[in-house]
Amino acid sequence: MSEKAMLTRRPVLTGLFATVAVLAAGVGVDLWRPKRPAASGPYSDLVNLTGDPQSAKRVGQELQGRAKELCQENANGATQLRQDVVKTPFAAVLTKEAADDALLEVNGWVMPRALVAVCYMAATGRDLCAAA
Amino acid sequence: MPAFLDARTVPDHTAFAPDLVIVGGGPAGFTLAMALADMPIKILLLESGGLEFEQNTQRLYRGAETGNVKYVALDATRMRFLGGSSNHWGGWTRPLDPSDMDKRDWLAHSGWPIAYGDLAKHFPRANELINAGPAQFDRLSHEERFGPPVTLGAGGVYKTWFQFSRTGPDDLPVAFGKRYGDALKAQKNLQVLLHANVTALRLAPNAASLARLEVATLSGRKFTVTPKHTVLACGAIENTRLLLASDDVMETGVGNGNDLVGRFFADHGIPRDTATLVLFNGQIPSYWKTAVDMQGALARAAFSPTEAFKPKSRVLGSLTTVENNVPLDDLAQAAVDVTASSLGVESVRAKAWSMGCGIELAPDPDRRLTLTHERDALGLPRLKLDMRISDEDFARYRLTMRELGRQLLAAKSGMVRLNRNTRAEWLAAMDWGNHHMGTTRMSDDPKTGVVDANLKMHGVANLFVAGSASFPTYGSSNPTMNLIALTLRLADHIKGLFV
Repeated sequence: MSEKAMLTRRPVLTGLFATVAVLAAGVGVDLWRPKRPAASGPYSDLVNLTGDPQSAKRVGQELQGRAKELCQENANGATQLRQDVVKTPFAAVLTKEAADDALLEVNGWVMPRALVAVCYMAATGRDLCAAA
Repeated sequence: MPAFLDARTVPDHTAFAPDLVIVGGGPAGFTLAMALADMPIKILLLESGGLEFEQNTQRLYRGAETGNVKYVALDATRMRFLGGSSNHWGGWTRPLDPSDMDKRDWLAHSGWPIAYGDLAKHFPRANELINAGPAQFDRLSHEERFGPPVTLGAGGVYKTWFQFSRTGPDDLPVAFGKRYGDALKAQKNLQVLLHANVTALRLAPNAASLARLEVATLSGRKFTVTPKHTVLACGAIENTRLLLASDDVMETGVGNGNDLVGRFFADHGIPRDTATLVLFNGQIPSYWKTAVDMQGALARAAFSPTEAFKPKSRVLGSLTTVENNVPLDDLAQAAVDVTASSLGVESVRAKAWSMGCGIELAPDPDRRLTLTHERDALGLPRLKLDMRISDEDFARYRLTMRELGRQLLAAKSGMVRLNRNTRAEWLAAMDWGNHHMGTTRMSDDPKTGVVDANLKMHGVANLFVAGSASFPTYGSSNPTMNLIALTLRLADHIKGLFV
């Protein structure tokens, strides 16, 4: 390889490495984050708000048979929740519930009510209060 | 006479006549004796044990335990030699909260007859006596070197601080016999009798005052003490035994006309692994998990209900510490991941820790000590403890932990799992603080208390009780520093008796 060719390629390679480095840094977290496939089904719009439908489903599996009890403690079904998240980000809905002490326990885990309801939907494909 | 005298060398039928006799050489007895060092009075301190542990003396503490929860054997929960139970304490120190002494409409039998300030003004000296560094407690603050602090949303639980009765990681907590033995020996107005067991408190025929104390040694010597004033400082359990067993004048025992002596026995329940703490960022300052040297003290953080939350939610005192790191099972991992993700925060570095606690129990007159027909080597009846803990005691603490979980969620910093739900689960995790309190409770009214606000026994002119036996309610703070403060207050009162 001639010296001239080397001199021409060096800036190109340097630029390429820099681009890869920037991209890797920018998306680094996403590269290492577990893949979380989107949910499907009648409540997928709500389940996908969790950002982790698989974990939502796993938590929801603990709620089987508790629909009636949970519904009595949690007036908000899917309809209300859909209205809420139009106006307010899901995370903000949950932090407001925490502030308002609107919480439920799932096998001892203290969680916001709306999140528990969504986990139930993820696991069963049914609305908490419709099932009750 | 030497300052420390072995009672086994005292001739039979000797009659001591001090101005003041202190029964018991534990933290309360030591504190009182030293606080009166400058008084122109003759003080006699009677200690059942010697300078070191002796099995035959310790056996005098044996008793029976029953009730609806397992308790520690009565001869294992305390120590009977000079220094008393400071010979085996852990050094955890924290002042009572003001609300711990409040009368609460929703809590039967609550309320101290003295103001918080009456006790608090003695905290600095009490803290000094137990070598816990400058009394800072909730004035301690996070330092950057510990990494990010644990963030809580606004609410009913806050970060509080223990200090420890030691100033370095290699120190042991102050054992009063070892640390202050020489001070007592040098005290001009004090005589200490070792191996001297009080076997009876003899009231005057009209029962209005204490006439004399009968004392015996395990070697068979017997003698008497006829003091002007007497202070019982042998702990909430042994005080009860002496008072109930001394029944020659009053059939129900000394100071027990209203059947209160021995009732309301109290201790801090210490259930283990009560809850799991998860922090999404996986980082917790080391002062949560162990005592660290900071701002002149050895300190450790704990979660406590706030003064506002306690009455609002009708919970009692509790102090929750962070213990060991624990793994997350698949459900736990899912709960953590979906919660963090929904809140818009990362959980890839999340870590979990088990939490333990010390909790106050609601006053219960049926949690009590009574005499049995079995007798010890000195002929005194042994005790039986009926130990009780209610579902409400557990439920109150659970509310506090739920509140902690709420505040973590609100701050998007973490979450909590409540690990104990049924009574069986709570009982399987139970341990005890060995903090004996309540059996000679303090009240202005003889119908609701054994001693008055000055710790003088109702109806007996010259008999006082020092120590945590007089605490009517007791919060969740370890009692040693607080009982020392109360004893310092008693010392001030006793000084007034001799002016």
